[in-house]
Parts: sequence; structure tokens; C-alpha cells
Amino acid sequence: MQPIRILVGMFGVDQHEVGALAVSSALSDAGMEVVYVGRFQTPERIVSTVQDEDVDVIGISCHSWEYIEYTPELLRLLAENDLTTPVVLGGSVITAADTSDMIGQGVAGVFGPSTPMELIIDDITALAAGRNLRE
Amino acid sequence: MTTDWLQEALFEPGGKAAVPPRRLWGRILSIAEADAAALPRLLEWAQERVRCALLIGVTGAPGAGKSTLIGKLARQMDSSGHRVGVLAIDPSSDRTGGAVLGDRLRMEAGGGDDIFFRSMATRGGRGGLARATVICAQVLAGFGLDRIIIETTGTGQTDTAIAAVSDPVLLVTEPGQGDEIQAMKAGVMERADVIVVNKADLPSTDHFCAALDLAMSARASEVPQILRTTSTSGEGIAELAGWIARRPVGPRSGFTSLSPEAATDYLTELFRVRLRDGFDRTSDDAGSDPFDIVALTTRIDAVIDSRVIGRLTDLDLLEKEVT
Amino acid sequence: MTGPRTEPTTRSGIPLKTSYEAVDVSDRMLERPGEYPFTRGRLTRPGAAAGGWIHRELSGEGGPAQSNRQLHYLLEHGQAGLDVIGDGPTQSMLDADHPLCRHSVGTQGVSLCRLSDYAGLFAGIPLDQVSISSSVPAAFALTGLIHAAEQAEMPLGRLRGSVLQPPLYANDAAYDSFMPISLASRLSVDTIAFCAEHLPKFHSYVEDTYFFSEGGLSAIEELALGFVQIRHLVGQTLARGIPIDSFASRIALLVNCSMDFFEEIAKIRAARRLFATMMRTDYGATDPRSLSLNVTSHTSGLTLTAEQPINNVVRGTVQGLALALAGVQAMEISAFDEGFRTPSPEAHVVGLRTQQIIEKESGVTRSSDPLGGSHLVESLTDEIESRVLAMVHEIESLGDPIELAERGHFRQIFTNAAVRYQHQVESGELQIVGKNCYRMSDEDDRLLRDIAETKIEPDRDRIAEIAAFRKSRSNDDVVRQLRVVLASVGDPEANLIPAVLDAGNAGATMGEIAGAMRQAHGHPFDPLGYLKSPL
Ligand SMILES: Nc1nc2c(ncn2[C@@H]2O[C@H](COP(=O)(O)OP(=O)(O)OP(=O)(O)O)[C@@H](O)[C@H]2O)c(=O)[nH]1
Ligand SMILES: [Mg+2]
Repeated sequence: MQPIRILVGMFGVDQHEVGALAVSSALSDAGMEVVYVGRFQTPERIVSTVQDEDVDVIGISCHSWEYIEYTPELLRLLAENDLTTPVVLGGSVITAADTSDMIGQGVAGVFGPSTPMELIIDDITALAAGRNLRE
Repeated sequence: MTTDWLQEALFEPGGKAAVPPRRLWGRILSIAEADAAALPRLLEWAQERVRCALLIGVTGAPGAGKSTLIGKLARQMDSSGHRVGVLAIDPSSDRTGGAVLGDRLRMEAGGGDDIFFRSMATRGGRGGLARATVICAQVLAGFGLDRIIIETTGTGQTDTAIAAVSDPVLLVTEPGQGDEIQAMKAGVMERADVIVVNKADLPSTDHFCAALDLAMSARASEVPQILRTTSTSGEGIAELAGWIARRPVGPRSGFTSLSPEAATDYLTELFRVRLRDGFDRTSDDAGSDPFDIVALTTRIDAVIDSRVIGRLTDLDLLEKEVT
Repeated sequence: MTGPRTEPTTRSGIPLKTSYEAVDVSDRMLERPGEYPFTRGRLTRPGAAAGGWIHRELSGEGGPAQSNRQLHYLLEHGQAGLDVIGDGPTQSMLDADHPLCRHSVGTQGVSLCRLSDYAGLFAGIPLDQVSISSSVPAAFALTGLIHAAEQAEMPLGRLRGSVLQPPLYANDAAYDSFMPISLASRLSVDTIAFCAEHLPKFHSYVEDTYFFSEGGLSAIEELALGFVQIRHLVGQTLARGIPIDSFASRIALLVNCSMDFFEEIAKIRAARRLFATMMRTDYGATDPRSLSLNVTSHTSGLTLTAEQPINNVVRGTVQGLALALAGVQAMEISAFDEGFRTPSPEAHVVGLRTQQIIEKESGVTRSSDPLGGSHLVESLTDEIESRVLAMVHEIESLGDPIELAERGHFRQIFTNAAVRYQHQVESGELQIVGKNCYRMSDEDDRLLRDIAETKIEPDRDRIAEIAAFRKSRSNDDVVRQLRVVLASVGDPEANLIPAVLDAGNAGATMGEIAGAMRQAHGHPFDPLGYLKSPL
């Protein structure tokens, strides 16, 4: 079995990187290959990375409100490029109302600060498996 | 399913090998990395496509600045008209198989160019390379890239495999590792064509270079070139690129002239992948108790009978290419 | 639920006994408040109430005019100390109209790009009476303040306030300024040197250990990295020929305050002793003001939970009490909603009220250093002091801190701490009520939740304003002054502050000035690869 590949990054000038690093390390411990792109990402940059790196899932760590604007841009750009890669968001700033909003727009999963790591791993694993079936 | 997709991506309806659109490259590399069944097709395609490409190996201790240097070097080569690809390798964990691939981070800033960049985990590969390094490099060459830069995991001295597959080999060092010069004498330092003293902006550079010169002067064999760079600012990169460009294409350059040693490594690897795959596929048919010799023998026979590793002509075909 | 059974230790791993006796403490027991080595803090000024501290509150939102109204509001409501924080782009030295900032202008602080922005921000504020602490890149905060003072015809010698100097750690642990560490470090020293000469009342160097410890550093790591930077910057400033007593008293420490009550108190006491002994024995300071460290603190946002936000009010109280007992000069209690949003005004008020209740009602601050002499606290203070010193020496033995920072040594420390913290929380080794024990279902956990739903919109007018400003100014002047900046960076003898000020006065923005400085070091003008250099 080929390991799951997941991109982990952050949008714009959102710079609180600690969560992204900790999650990356946990995902790697769970056997995934994390393509860590870190801070200062834009939807354009993420889409071209997704193509080159052929990741199964896109994970964005959110600690400022920038994700509210960038996420729909990313979803649109993925669709324009015929990419079906699922997008998941994680971070403490995402409230319950934001979560349903994001899911409504097409985000595949939202993880809050109290989501246990096992659940995050399970969800990402399921998303990656779904994607492989589609192809 | 993959094979159909690959066929369509790589070959024109008439059967001629084509260059797939850029957006598919990433997916094709994944197949090259993981899908043994697709390899024959891929290699057939590659054989038709590949022209001479320079494989540039970059090795050196963790944090020496390999990725930053490659980012600058790749851009330099890109702007002088080359088509550049990068394979950046980080170790997979032996225990979990997972990996954090962080090399991209250093090459991100600046973006907006044509350089193809792929992060790879070793997935069981040894000597600082990923299992599928050569295969992927070959596929990139098939896409028409003529400068393929490979960043090893950076375990330093033990990254010797790079010398078997690339030419030239760049050993990236940073000042302040005085003690390590001793240690470096063995291992990859022997195989390096250039020793790059990176982070030349740091004050201890002169001191380090002096120690390096001393260590070199004690050597009987051919002494590698020593070049200074500051990868963060780009100083010295043009000189390094110039050195690479001027260097006569050596016996190890390109796929049409892999060294016999590298070719053997490569073939062994291909064979191993397919053998392993054969076992995986036939594991249901026969017993898998490792101490049951009869069952084991039956299983090996099953693999051979299934012809999963068969079609040795594919390998013959490859051999023609690499020798 | 609970982690493996181990011997009890403090959060940073100091073993704890079940009880402490006189034999556990050294003869330090004879130390007195207001005297060297100042472990027990300062003696209260005659007439002032004992233990009084400045209650700070963060402010900054939208553009300068909007933030100016906020500052006036706070002053009218009796706030003595102001704390202005720049928005994300400002902290990263990017202008509001940079393409990567399009969704973040003014949301997490105030957007400051031009010198005139500071004049707007500080309009009508008595800069010689109110102490404004700025979380904005120091060289720009300083030149902005100078410009505002010139506009208000206020002599520089009377200016108060403070700036943070995080050259070694900012790129890794907070906002990346994309500058080589050597340049960031030089800018810090230039600021300190300039202020020693022209702004004697201004705190030109706040060592902010808060921001970089928020990823989960232990108390010992926090102080050790803080002192590595203090020693680095003091050493560099002395090397400029600036006498220690002309700037040591302008150094202050801004520490984190986590949940380990006694350890946090002992940390602050140890920091004061370490500072005093270093200044005296290592750097030859003699003025008592150079030896008695000014300590301020923010309570840790990391200790707060998104679950059951009301519990954070309790955490803030415990932490605020620790700080009051440790005797700090100023404090700020993190807003209870910080676990899940940029703090709301409502939550700020609760933080302020918490401080006021501790100060006015509890009576804990009537005497200086009330825990001085406690066997436990004195023993912890000694232990922290020696462990911090050991770690400082260990780091220094590895090489020049600039080189270590460039090599990613500190980044590794921060990353390891974050991973360790995550692991401790997940394994339950570190118990956090409401998070990994005593949890509540989401349906029941509704109290104070609705506050989280209000958000601050990015200030898009501000982006347009800055973009229009660029067209309105004289580009020749700007380019000429940016060239001066470029040349000054190339001259190791030059202090960069005057060049930054001149460029700002010519209309150059912070992003452009920072870009010119990067360019002088051979780095890209725009580190993110969007803008072309005007040079
Ligand atoms: N001062 C200075 N720092 C540099 C230079 N080149 C790289 N660095 C810094 O060194 C650190 C490590 O750089 P990388 O490019 O990630 O090093 P690497 O060898 O690829 O590291 P691994 O992939 O982890 O083995 C980063 O913080 C770089 O910014 C240089 O020329 N001068
Ligand atoms: Mg690297």
C-alpha cells in the first residue's frame, strides 16, 4: 500500500505555525507522507503544488480569519483545474457556524481544537481512500 | 485501470510516445513510484522519449542548505534556458512509513516559474535515495527535462548511493563543522565532484575553508573543486552553475550512459519491485508461514507461474537502453 | 485517562518533594526587596500603593484613524498603559497593498505602513505621559513615534513607551520579516543605540519571551532563550562603545505566565536575579537602575481552551494572581476567548476586571514579594536560576547566536517543544480541564460561545488608500532615499535609524524600506516574489 500524501500549509500571512507542525508530525507518525509547505500560501500556489506533488488531501491550518476568504478561492481554483483533491481545515478559530458554512461550500472536513488526533487521522484516511476509488 | 489511464496519458492514439500535459506529471510520478504493474509501459514510453539529461546529485548534512541552494540553482538554470526538475528526498520512518517532506519549504519563495518540484519519501530506499529515484528521474527526462537535480536525505556520509546515479555530485557543507571534516573524509566526500561551502556569509567561513583545504591536501586522489555560495542571497550560484555547464559530460551523465554499477542497481531495483509485487499478489494462493518450506516453495512457483515478474523482454529492452 | 505514574515535577521538569524545609534553601533567604540582586523585585515607590502595576490592554484594529479612536476611548476609561499591536502584514514588514495581505489588513491589529500613519495613530495622545508599548517592528515603531512627536512638537527626550526586539527568534516563532538574522540584529542594536542617545526615557529593548514560548516551551527554555538574546544584544551594543549604564535600565522583560503557579512565580524571581548578576558581573553595570529588571507579563494564550470558555476566566485569575505575587510592573490577562478567536472587547474587559479584583479586593499586594522566604518558592527560584544558566551556557558554547538562528537551531527547539506539548496533551500527561478531562458535550458547552461568532472584516479601504498613496507621492524622492537606505546597510559603521526616518519622511513605506534593506544583503526585495524592486 502506498502511503497517503497530504499537503499541509497556511494561507496568506497567517503565521501561527505551531499547530501545523504538530499535526504534521502526528500525521507522519500515522504513516502518512506530509508535503509540508508551511506559511505564505495562496490558492494559486497550492493548486500548482497539488499538481506536482499529487497529494491525496489538502490540509490547511487556520489561525487567522484569512481562511474565510481564501478557502472559497481555493475550491474554485481546484475545480477550474479539474482537481477533486479534498480540502480539510483545522484550527481553533473556526467556529461551529463557520464549520457548517465551509462544509456547505465544499470543504471535506473541519477539525477544531478539540478534535482528537485519531479522528483527524481516520477522516483523512477515509478521504484519501475515497479519492483513489474515484480515479 | 491505472494502465489505461497511463496509456492514454503517455501515448498518442497511434501508439507514439508523447509528452503528457504538465498537470498530469505529478500523477504519473506517483505511478512510477508505487505501481509496479505500470512500470513496463512507463519504461517503454521513457525509452522512446528520453534524451540526454544531466542528473545532478546534491548531498550534505541536514540543514547545510541543500534545498535553499537547489532553489537558487534551479532558477539560475531555468533562466538560462534549461528545463529543470527537482526530486527532493526525505527519509520515511522505518517504524511507521510516514514522513514529513519539508524541502519544498525552502524553495517556495519566488514561485511563478516552470521548475517541476517533487518531494519524495525514501519508502525503503537506502543510501539517502528513495526507492524509485532513478525511475522518477527517468520519467522526468521523458517529459523533456534536461537538468534533473536530486536532493538526498542528508544523512551525510552514508548518502553514497547518489554517486552511483548522478554526475556531478555536489557535496554541500556549511562552516562551523570543523570536527566533521575529519568524518567527511570517508564516505561521500570521496565521491563528490564539487564541495560547496554554503552559508559563506557566516563569519567562520574562511576558517572552515582553510581546514577543508588542509584535509584535501592530504588526499592522494583527485581533489574536488571547492566553491563558496550563499544560497540565501544567491551569491556564488552563477559560478556553480557555470562550473556545471563547463564540465565535460562524464561517463555517468544521462541515462544513455549510466555506469554499469548504476545500471545494475537500477535493474536490481526494478526486479525487486516486481518480485515483491508478485509475492503480494499471490499471497492468497499459497501459505505464508515463513518456516513452512514446502508452502514457501509453492508460493515462489506461484509467482513464477503467474508471470507477474515475467515478460523479461521488458527488462531486456531496458538493458539495451542503459548499457 | 491519566498518564504514566511518575514522580511529581514542575511543568519544566524540576523534581518536587512533598514538603520543603529550611535545609532546601540557600542563604539567599537573606535577600531583600529593592536590593541587589533584586530577586525580590523593586521596592515600591514611596507614596504609591504597594504592588501596584500597570493594567494593559491590547489595541489596534483597521487603519490608524480607527485605532486612534480606540486609544482615546481606553485613555478616557482610565487605562494607564496602552499596548498597540500591528496587524499581520505590519508585523511581517509587508504593506497593506501587498498581494499576500489581501485578506488580513487590520483584522488582528492596526495597519501601519507610512510615517504619517503613526501621526494619525497617536493624534491627541500625550506621548510624554502615556507609555505606549508597541508590538510593531521596532525600527519602524520608533521612527513612527519620532515622526508623531515632531508633528506634535514634542522633544524626543520626553518620549516614553517601549518596543520589542526579537531578532533571533521572530522569523521562526512569530512573524517572519524575511531578513537575515544579522540584519535584524543590527536593526535592534541601532534602535537601542539611537535611543540611548536621543530618547532616554524610552524602553528601547523589551525582551519578549512571551511570543516565542507560546508554542509550548518550558519555563526554563523560555528564560534561557530570553537571556541568550539579552546577552547577544547587550554584547553587540557594548561593542558599539555605548556604556552599559546608558541603556541597561532601558531593557525590560515581557514573560509568559503559564499555569504552574509556583514555577511561574519562581521564574520571574529567578529572571530578576539572573539579570542583576549578569549586568553587574558580566557587563560591569553599577547604576542600580541598570540592575533591577522591569518585568511585565501576558498570561498564556496556550493554556486557554476553546472548550468551556468560562473556565478561561478562572485560569486568568490563577495566572494573574501568580503575577501579582511575583511582583510585575505591568500585566495583561489573555482574553477568555483567545482560544478560538481574536479577542473580543467583552473578553478584554473581563481580563481588566480580573486584574482590578486581584489588586483592589484580594489584598495580596500590600507587601512586596509576599512569597519571599517560602521554602518551596526559594528552592524553585534557585533551581530555575541554575538550570537557566546551564542552558544559556550550553547554547552559547554551540556558537554565535546569529549563526545558530541562521542554522535553524532555535527553530528546532520551538518545533520540538510544540510536538512535546501536543503529545503531553494527547497522552493526558498534562491534564487540561474540559479538554482532555472533565469534558462536556458540544450541546451543553454553550456558555459564552456566541461571542466567537462576531468577526472583524479586513479593511479593504485601507488597501486602496495605500495603493493610491503610492501614485500620489514623488517617486524620485522615494527612490533617492531608498538608495540611501541601501548604502547605509552596506556601511557597517552607520546607524540605520536616521536613514529609515529620512526615507519615511520622503514617503517610502515600511515594505519598501525593509525591501531595500533585504536587497542590500543580496536578498530579494519582496521575499514572497510578487513585487518588483524600485531600485
Ligand atoms: N546564513 C545562511 N543561511 C542559509 C544559507 N543557505 C541556507 N540557509 C539556511 O539554513 C537553513 C537550512 O536550509 P535548508 O535549505 O533547509 O537545508 P537542507 O540542507 O536542505 O536541510 P535538510 O533538507 O533538512 O537536510 C535554513 O534556515 C536556511 O535559510 C546561506 O547561504 N546562508
Ligand atoms: Mg532540504
